[in-house]
Amino acid sequence: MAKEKSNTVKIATLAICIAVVCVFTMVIKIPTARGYLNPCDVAICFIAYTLGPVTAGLSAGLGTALADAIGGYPQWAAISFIVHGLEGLLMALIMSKETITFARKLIAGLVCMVVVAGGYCLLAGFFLTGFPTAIAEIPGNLIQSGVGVVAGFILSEAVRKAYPPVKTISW
Amino acid sequence: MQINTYIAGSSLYHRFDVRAKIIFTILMCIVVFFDMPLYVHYALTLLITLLSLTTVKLKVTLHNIKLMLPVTIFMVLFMPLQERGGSALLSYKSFTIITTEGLNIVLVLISRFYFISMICTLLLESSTSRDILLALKSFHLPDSFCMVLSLALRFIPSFASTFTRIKDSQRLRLPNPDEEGEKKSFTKLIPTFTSALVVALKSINTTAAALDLRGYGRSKNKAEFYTLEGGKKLFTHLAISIIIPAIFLITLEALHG
Repeated sequence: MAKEKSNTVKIATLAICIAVVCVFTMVIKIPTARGYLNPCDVAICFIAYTLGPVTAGLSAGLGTALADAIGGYPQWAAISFIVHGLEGLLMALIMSKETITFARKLIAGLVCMVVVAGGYCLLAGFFLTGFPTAIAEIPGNLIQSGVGVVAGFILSEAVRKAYPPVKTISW
Repeated sequence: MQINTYIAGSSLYHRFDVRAKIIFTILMCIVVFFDMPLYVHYALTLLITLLSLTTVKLKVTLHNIKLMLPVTIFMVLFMPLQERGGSALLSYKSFTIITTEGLNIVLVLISRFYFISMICTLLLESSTSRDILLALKSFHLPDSFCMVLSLALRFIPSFASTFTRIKDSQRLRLPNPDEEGEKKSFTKLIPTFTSALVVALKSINTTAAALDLRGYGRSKNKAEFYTLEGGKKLFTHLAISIIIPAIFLITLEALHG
């Protein structure tokens, strides 16, 4: 049974994961119509695979929203918070079982791609840019989230080997 | 990595209370979605541009506009796909490229996007992150949530610096780092990300211990060094932040009536 985490550990975990997602979002930027493509989904998928649903949902949403606000795209912050928060939460819930089969990983990956591409298309189409422009962004978002799913899983395995105590941080 | 969006100044909008600015930003972002004639959208665009020029000056305003250009260009390029019905504005032989309705819809979308972008950017550029966090606390968001955000904002630059150092050290492991370093550095992305993540995860327990040592969460009465002013000034600013959107809505109703 998982040991009950103290509040300070939870606060520290969330703060550092938010910073990780934010830095991953801002460190590499490929300009597109929406603003930019970036490896934020790599960090979100890693956190979802490794650290649990609460950490994944909150750090994904707040990390990407902060990155948008800091990077000069505050108009996207609310949409990023909802879409990536939901992405992290759903992926972590799917991956939260003891035994993780290939089918479960595949479902988590598909959910990630659908939530990111569909979420941005719907919310940006309705609130910001109109649907034609939002639909044109779907391929880029699918590529970004697809790469994030694969790289996130690879990273999760690599970090578990490099730093075994990571299993105790999950909550 | 520069994370500070605040631009120092002494404009009226700088001196406006940050709580009132947040409420004003949210209300105006809602109001801009109401059904209104195109010239009202133009008026809002002009007003927010004037506010930006008086608050953060021309250079920063132009920089903010430049960031919106790619999206705006795409919206114009996809204009022919908007609203195919209505009278043709531009056509080639018998094929209608752009309709009048399509042009109107795109102009509304562009001005709305511009307004929302500028007003949100102005909020961040005219208020320090400390004041924004204090405002969120005064809106009764949990203290732990504000602590998480505050810690994250402090950790971001140091983690970014660590990430850059790890990336450079991985690049130096390539056979010809100076000649091919930048091109082949993507091959070192996974090792770079792994090392950076391990460094970040290792700091969780240290950070938690630091919070425990400072007595975080042990007593309910926490000493506050920084506070936001209250009183008549806050009331006036809050009233202004609500009255302006209200007047706008009433005017819209009158225009429709």
